[in-house]
Amino acid sequence: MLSLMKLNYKSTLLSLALFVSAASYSQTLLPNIPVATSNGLVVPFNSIIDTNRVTVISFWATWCVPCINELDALQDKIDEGKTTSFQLIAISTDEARSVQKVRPLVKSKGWTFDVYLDESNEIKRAFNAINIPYVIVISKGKIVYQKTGYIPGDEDVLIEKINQLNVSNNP
Amino acid sequence: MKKISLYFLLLLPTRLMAQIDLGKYGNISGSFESNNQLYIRDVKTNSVLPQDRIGSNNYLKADYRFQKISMGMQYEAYLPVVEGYPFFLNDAKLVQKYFSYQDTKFGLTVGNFYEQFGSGLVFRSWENRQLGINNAMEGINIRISPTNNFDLKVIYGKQRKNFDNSEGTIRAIDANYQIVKPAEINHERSLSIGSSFVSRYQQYTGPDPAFKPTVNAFSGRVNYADVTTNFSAEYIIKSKDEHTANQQNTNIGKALLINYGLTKNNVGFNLNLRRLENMGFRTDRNADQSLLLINYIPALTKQQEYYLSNIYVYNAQALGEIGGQADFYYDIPKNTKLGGKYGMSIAFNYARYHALQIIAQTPTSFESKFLGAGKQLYYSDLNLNVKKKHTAKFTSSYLLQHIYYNKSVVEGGNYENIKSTILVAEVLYKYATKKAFRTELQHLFTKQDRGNWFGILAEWSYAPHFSIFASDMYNYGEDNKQIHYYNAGGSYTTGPHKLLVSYGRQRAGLICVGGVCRLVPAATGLNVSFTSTF
Repeated sequence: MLSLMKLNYKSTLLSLALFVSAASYSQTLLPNIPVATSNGLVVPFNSIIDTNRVTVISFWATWCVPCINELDALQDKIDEGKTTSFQLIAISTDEARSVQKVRPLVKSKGWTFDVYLDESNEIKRAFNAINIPYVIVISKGKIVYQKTGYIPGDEDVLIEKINQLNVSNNP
Repeated sequence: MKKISLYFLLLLPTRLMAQIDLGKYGNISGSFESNNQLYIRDVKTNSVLPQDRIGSNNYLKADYRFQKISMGMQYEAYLPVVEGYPFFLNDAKLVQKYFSYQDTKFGLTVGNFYEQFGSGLVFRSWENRQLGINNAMEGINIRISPTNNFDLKVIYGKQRKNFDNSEGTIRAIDANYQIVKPAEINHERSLSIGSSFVSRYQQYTGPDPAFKPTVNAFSGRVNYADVTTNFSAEYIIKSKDEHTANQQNTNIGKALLINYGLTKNNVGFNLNLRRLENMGFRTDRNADQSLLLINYIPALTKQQEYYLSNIYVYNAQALGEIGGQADFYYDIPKNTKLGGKYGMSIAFNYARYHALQIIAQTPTSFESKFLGAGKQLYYSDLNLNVKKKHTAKFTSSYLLQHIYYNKSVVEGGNYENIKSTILVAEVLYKYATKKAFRTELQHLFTKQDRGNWFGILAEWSYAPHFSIFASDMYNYGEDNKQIHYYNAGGSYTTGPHKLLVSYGRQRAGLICVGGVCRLVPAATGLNVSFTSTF
């Protein structure tokens, strides 16, 4: 009886270890926090990441001129077709004071990438972004590059990073 | 615990380039921010030198995340505090810590947390380091989502008051029901309703037996959106709440917020209307300035980027105001006759806020017409922005702004109302792939207050690391009081780490966010700030 209990105890521990191990391999380093689309759909943050491509996440706001300049510059790069494939996601950190301006601004700009809302700044806090613009590059579920602020020409550096990652991911 | 702390401290300096990946044991991430000022004597600005000529505000935040569990802390050190922040913040402490479990259907946070119900007009706990606001809750936060279209949040706790907690307690509940849920991102209509109840209790020891120590606020809201249209409305009612900041006003608090937006092709329009009546709401009846705010009442006006546009900035009047703002955005498409190869962006904003239309008044209450605007104008602001990219290297932007600013109401006191017009021209010349030169010319015209201002800025940058700048705001409108507010500095950025060094004069002024303002005193000296995310 005692040996059976010991066996059960060991197998339980083993199962637990296997479970933890399997769960650990499947986890990413990204916070699993809800994020909203501009028409009210709330989805887990992890679900918006395209794991087959390099993803660029840009934290921005309608009142932040450098943020808009950076997103405009990236949209120009996409339009010019001078980059390898990547997913661009813009997360607005506008709160109650300006969140209502996100939709009209985005529509007028004709940006082709997805824009999400982080009105309570929960995602910005989870990524520990202090100031905006703040850019994160994710490849294979992990953060591989982060950048604070925007200097004209940063978009060229970012595109170089994306191209390098695409080459190393698809040799 | 000591071993974990030691491990963390040892890892910190060596792994600052990214999150600290502990493999199957999760990861550690965080941020560090340090703002430092060295003050020097400057008779020209009439600045008062602080006792200690150095001010230093520092924040370290660290989070450990493992699957659905996260925990973290925030350490703050004011050594001593930078001028303009509350003077009693001369200390260094581990001020915030939390444990959180978040699943799709259930979430639990114990310790410090930030939260927002609806637009925040009934409840918002948040942090704004620039303004010196941190009203994080300490207590418990439970989120339950029993179905995929219903969410319930329950919070209970006290608010942060500098390095301590409030005397009063907050208990609140928020429910959101998605009547029509879009199946796809950005393509279908959605309709949701929500409601919040926020209750604040603070012991009352005064002589009035009828005085209620509990204040309750209730809100209802609706949100609708489809491909081209969006509409939202929120109404809040708050029970009698006599306190210091509202001069013991006994009116029932009421607020109405309406938003309507319309978008089509390259055009976007938004209309934002709001009425406030006695909506100041704090955890402590004696709190003032930026302390212990329960709700969030921002000025619904355009947030400005340029120096001279930030001299006369509106601050929402929680005791009573009515008004709104309209935004219009139009982007002339690329490759059109008017837009040229790169297109052109036009943005228009108009905001206007009045006093409530008062019918009757006593020293501690007033009666007003709900949808009536009083004759007294608090603020109006008209903005026209145009941005045009002419060639791959050359972009220019322009701003025309006209402001009416009731200084007596916004800042308190007895002043002449201010009318000003501001013109700005900005040019960006990206002369090489990673090198650019940017300049701004600004002018503020006014016959009131301190008269005219002229501003100039020149910035050279070399992506992704270097940027240097020099700027001057010259206030020449008053006889014998002309003064240059010059500044020069540079920054070095590498990934998520940024060092900024500047030297110059800072003008005295108000920084206002969320219905509260912080007076930034005039100062001259060296400023060094460092931010880092890991």
